[in-house]
Amino acid sequence: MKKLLALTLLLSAAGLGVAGSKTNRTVYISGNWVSGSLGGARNSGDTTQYIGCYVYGNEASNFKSMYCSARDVSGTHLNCYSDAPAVVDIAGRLNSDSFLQFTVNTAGDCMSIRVDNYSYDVPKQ
Amino acid sequence: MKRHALTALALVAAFVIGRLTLAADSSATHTERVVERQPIERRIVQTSSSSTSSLTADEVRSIVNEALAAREPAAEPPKPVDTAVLSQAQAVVATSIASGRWTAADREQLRAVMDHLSKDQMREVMTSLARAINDGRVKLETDGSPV
Repeated sequence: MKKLLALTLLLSAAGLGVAGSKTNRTVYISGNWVSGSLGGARNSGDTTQYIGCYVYGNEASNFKSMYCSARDVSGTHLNCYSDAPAVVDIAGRLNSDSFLQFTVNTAGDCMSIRVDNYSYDVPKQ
Repeated sequence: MKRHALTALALVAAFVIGRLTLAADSSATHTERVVERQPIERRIVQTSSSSTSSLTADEVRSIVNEALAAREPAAEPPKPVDTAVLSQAQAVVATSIASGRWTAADREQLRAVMDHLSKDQMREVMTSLARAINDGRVKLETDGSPV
């Protein structure tokens, strides 16, 4: 009876484990390019990496801007700033489980940004 | 004999009446329509420069400007740039670059003045900080984002 119960629990756990594709994309920095999912960084085994952006709006001065920042497991940083609406608006699509990628020029400007909202990126736990 | 003559006469009379009736019907079906077009009178309007308007170019310009001003809300005058705030923000970043450290206290000082920076000032301060971090001239000692 105990063996049957154990087998049932094992099969149930296995069933939960294959419920859809899952990807754990941790922070990866290469030159002026960085990518990673917010959930992947948060769930990583280290306490170093993170990735994300803040989006800022100022009604009085009538502009919006953003600052993206990331640090990989080795401690390398990549940061950028932008007030270009085409870039800032995309940063506003980030949610807590998004995948984020951005590129930076030597002046510290964000040259591009990409936000993925897919089911397979692991959520924060 | 008389009977045959009457019959022949009746036939001739019927023939003549039939022809006359047919001719009357056919004339009724071919009605011609005559449409007369009234000639359009073409008017030629001649104006001379002296009779178009008595307004001067300046007056026309003034009227147009008034109409445009009535349509569009007046643009807000640009806010005066607070150079003291920019100096304060720049000093925070410059000091951290000189020391090679960006601390939580630096971040708080920058956050305190952020709302008073203009768009260009914000760009100048934030990109200088981002450059310093990316180049490794400043070591981040903050938990999470530097700003």
